[in-house]
This record gives sequence, C-alpha cells and structure tokens, in this order.
Amino acid sequence: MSATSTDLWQRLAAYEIGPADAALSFTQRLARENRWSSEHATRVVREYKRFCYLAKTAGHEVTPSDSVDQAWHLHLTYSRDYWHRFCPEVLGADLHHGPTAGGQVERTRYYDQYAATLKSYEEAFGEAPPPDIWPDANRRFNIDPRSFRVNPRDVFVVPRWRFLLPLGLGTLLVAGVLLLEGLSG
Amino acid sequence: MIEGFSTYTGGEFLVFYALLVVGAIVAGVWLPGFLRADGENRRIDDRYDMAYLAGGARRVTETALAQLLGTGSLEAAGGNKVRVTRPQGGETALESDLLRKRADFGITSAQNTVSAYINDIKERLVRDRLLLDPSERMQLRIVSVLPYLAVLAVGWYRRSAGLAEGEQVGYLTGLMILAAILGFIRFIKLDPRTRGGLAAVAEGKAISSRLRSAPTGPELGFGVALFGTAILAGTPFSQLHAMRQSASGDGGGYSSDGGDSSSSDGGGCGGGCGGCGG
Repeated sequence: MSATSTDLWQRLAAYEIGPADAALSFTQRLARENRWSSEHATRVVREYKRFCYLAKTAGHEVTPSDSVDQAWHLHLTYSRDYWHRFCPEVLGADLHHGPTAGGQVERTRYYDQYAATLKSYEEAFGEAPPPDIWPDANRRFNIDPRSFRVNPRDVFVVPRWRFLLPLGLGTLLVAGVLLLEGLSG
Repeated sequence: MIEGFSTYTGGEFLVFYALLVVGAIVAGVWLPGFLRADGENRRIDDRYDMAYLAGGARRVTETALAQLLGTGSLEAAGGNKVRVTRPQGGETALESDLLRKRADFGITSAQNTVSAYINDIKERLVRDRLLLDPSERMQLRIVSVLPYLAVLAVGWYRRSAGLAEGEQVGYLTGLMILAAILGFIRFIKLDPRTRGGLAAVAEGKAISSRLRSAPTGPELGFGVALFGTAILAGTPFSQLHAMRQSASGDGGGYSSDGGDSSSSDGGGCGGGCGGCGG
C-alpha cells in the first residue's frame, strides 16, 4: 500500500502547523528564518511531514536532512501545537528530537540512520527524496553542520560565486590590459 | 580546393587550419557516437558488471572493497589499508578471494586479486552485447582518427609548400603537433560500450539515483559501481575514497599505497539530530 493512501499520511497532509489565524504562518516564518522562497519553504514542510510519517512507520530510527531539521526545530518551538495537537492527534505518538552527542560512533550511527531514512522514503513514497532538500552525505554531515546564525546588521552576506566571479573576471581583465600594453609598448 | 590552401597567406591559413582542427575534434567525437553498435538493451543487476561498464577495471576493485566495507567484512586499518574482519562474508568468488588475505592490504593489492576476474566480466559483457568486441573497437578507433589524419595531411601539404617558399611554419607545425596529440588521445580513449551498454548505465543511474546521496551498507557496492567512490565522501567509508585518491595509476592499476603489509577517518561530530523512532 502506498504511503499516500494511508490514514496517517492523510492526517499529516491536511495538518496546518501553528495557529490558523496567525498573521505570520509557520511556512512564512520558516522561509523568513532560513531566507528561502515561500515555494521552497512549502516543499520543506511537505518533506518534514514525510519525515514524520517515516518516524512513525519505518520501524527504525530516522534522521532528517538539515532543511527538514530546520522545519522540525521551528515546529518544536510551537510547543503547544507540537505536543498537544500534532503528536497525539495526528502522529499518534511522541516524536522526540535527539541531537548528536558527537564523535565517530555517533557520526556512523547518524549516517546509517540517514541512509536508512532515504531508503525507507523511497519505499514508502515510490520516488527518491528530492536532492535539494535531502542532499548527499557529504553535504549533510560535512557542510550543513557549519551553518550558524548571523545578523545582517552586523555583517555583509555575499554568496561566494557573487564575490569570486567578478574577482576572477576582473583579474583576467587587468591581466589582459597589462598584456596588451606590454605588447604594444 | 587544395590549390586554394597554397594561395592563402600564412595568417589566413593558420585561422583556417585552427578551424579544421576544431572540426576534427568535433568529428572525432561525433563519428564514433554515430557509428557505435546498437548492442542489446538489458537491465544490469550484477554490481561487478555494472562497475566495469560504468567505470572500467578500477571501478570493479573499488566496488568490491566498498561492498565488503559496507557489509562489515572489511574494516579500515589506517595507512590507506583495510583488514579482513569476516573471512566468510563474501557473496561472490571475487569477494571471497579478497577475504582470504591475511595481512592488511591496500587498493593495489586488491586490484591484483581482482584482475583475475576482469577478463570474465569483459567477456560476459561482450557476449551480452553491452561492450563492443575487439574488431568493432578497432573499427571505431580508426574512424575516430580519420578526421585528424585528414587535417594532418592538409597541414603537411601546406607546410611543405611554405618551406619551399621560405615561409615561417612554426605556428603551423605547432598546430599539427597539437592535432597529432589529440588524434592519438582519440585513438587511445575509446568508449568501449555499445548503445545498449550506455543505456544500461544511464538506466541504472536513474533507477538508483538515491544511492548517489547515501547508500546503506549492503547497497554500498552498487552505489560505488554506478557513481564511483566520490559518493563515499562524508560517509563512515570515506577512507576508501581517500585510498583511491592517494593511489596514483597509469591507466590499468594503482600504485603508491604500499601493497600488502604485515601491519581512519578523521573524527569530528557529524549529524544534526535524529534519534526518534516509531
């Protein structure tokens, strides 16, 4: 039976996280805090619900991607919604969040769980997890954990390519001008 | 038309000749693709057949090591070596052979063991019409270099005429040497797969795209077969990727990992969170 036809998934899919009358919805807040487009945040929320489905049904411990984890973190801050409505009424079980204790053993354990989660995802939903939200192990365990909070009032935030591309092109331009001047002189 | 070449000025001919070299490069890529044998369309489930088809003989060795690491029959031993932990863990004769090693061993030693099975794999793939047979390969090699030979002949003619006129022919000679090198590379580097073989790899990658992200232990071999050891970066098995990177080779084997010996990953905390279950 496909996951999408189960009662559990139907409840998860229909569930609106947070108060319905909030001026800033859960998805909007998730987008704002992570600087995502609203479309991307909506997709992340859908993947978070799929993750919750797997947590209940996969039969093994599950590990989210960093993006899904951000949705989970935010949901946990809506503590009344999470513990009084979502877990008992939608999921039918408590879903606790357990950060890594660090070290090589934990690293191996979380990799195994992440790989098993992706496999269960494919089996349950009949498609591979979208790689932009469920990235490869290198991104998940080496790159994403480097993220940290910054305030744009305190720092400049420039994507690397926007900095390196003009720098590279500018260097080439200067080198070309110097070369031409050298040849003509 | 040949008469036209000799009437070009040196500069005009160089531009024309550079375009000819570019044309030869394009034709050298396009012709073998166009004339490649169809072969057979079939799905490949054997990890070693897939490894050879997707990455050649080295990939077979890397696949075997990945599979045995993923299933716990091998473990990292440090110093770019692995050691056997479960001698009975092999599922194929190739894997059992690797697990008979008593001392810690590196990727070169593994390649030496695996090489005894490479011919069988090749013959099977040729029989299944996923690889070109030797005569088909030679035909494609010759076809691939014909454009380069034509370009070299034109260059030779113009160079001879230039020398007879006392012109400078250094740049033209340089371009001819470049064309000869590219033609030689084209002759050596032939994709030996039939259209069916190419399709089988593409289909395998599409069906198993998840393995590129994070394969489970038992899937590790097939993941490496399809996508190479790069998928191991960030996993507990990244040492195999490091072993491959540090071992330099000459096209057929590895070296510089020390072979057998009678004798890890770095630490750091991973993972954001997890630990919830149903």
